[in-house]
Amino acid sequence: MRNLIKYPIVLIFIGILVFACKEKSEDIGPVSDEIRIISLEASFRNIRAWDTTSITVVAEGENLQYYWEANHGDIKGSGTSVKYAAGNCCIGMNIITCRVFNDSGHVEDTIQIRVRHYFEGK
Amino acid sequence: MKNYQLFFFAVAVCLLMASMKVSAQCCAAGNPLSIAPEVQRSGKNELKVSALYRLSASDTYYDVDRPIDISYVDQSGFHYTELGIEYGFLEHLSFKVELGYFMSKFETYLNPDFDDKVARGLADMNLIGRVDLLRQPSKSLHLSATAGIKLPVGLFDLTVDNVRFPVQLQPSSGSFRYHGGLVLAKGLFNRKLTSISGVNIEYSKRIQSKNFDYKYGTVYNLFVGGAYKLGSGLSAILQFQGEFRAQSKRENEQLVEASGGTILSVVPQINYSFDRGWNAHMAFSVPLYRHYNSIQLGSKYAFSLFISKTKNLKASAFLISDKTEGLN
Repeated sequence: MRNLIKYPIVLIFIGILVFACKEKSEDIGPVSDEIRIISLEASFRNIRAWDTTSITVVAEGENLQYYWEANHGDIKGSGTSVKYAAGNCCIGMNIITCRVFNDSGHVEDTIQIRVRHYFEGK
Repeated sequence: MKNYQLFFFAVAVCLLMASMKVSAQCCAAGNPLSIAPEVQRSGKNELKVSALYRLSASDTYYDVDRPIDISYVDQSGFHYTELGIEYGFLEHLSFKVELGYFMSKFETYLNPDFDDKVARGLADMNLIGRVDLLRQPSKSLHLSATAGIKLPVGLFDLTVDNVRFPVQLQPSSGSFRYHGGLVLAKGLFNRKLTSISGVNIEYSKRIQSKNFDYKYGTVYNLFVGGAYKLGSGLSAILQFQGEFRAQSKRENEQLVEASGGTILSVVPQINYSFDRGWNAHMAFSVPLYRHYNSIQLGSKYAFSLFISKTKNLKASAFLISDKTEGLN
């Protein structure tokens, strides 16, 4: 009875270890030559902590979708225009990535936003 | 009032307090740290299955140690559950696996233009080995050590509506975490009172996903307290806990200014053992003192409810064997 419990548990642990150690890669598809990012701009490129800036992308292509990510800080909204804000946790130069994609693939661009200390004034 | 009535009354009071204003311990990727250490480990051939619920809430920013009015996050918190299985392989050695799941990990904002964010998903798997370093029943003295690793098996790089959530809302930690600790328990006054003290250290490896490059600071957790036997199976515990967190680092080894600090908390607990192997444990943690680096969203309170059932498999096997022999 004891071994019936013990050995499956050990095997499950080994399986989990192997699974956890495996490199996870993100499949974002091929780069498309049917999509073109015309501009990626922010209303402010230098903001105080917890202030907000609007970021807008203009792109050409069919049935486009938009994906956003920031290496530090928060992105609000979705689609062609989002808002970005970050606290004192994210003081420094932060990178916001916009990926535009459709069935043909994707293209992406980045914009850098500097976040200043909350007490550095507006 | 009977013991079980007293225990469930205390649970109800804490849940009521927690529901009055939910706000949460701010905020890091992955499984939250324990607010109440497990002192009792499984003996040889004993299997312990446990379930944990934890609530944590924050709603106030602190500039070092004083509240500061920042109109950004209104409420932040999580509802976290964890399943655990522990088995005593040897007389002095047990092994435990815990698997966490965030029912919700959320931020709400004061700015009406910002939608609330709620993350759900599998968190980390925690593998823990626990060993008795010293056990002297005659002196009611027990020293045990733990060592373990948290595996980032859960959901990381969570994306909702094609927008990636920030690192503090990710259910899994996205990197390995190593931890170890010591717990010393000493019975006093004819074992009516048990003093409990200990230390835990958690070291995080660097998160390096496509989007995030971040390393949480090492956390040192010291605790000291006492458990007082109220009646058969029922104990009240008062514990003081100090959490010392080093600053985090981002890409190029840059220190994250608003990270790390010191929090001293009081953690009243109640424990109830009943019906041969069942155990229920409730803890409520409230910060008494805090000293953050720069401006951070501070923990308001945390609550946990832990229920476990322990069964001696060898005794069960003997029982089955005896019954089988009886049939023959």
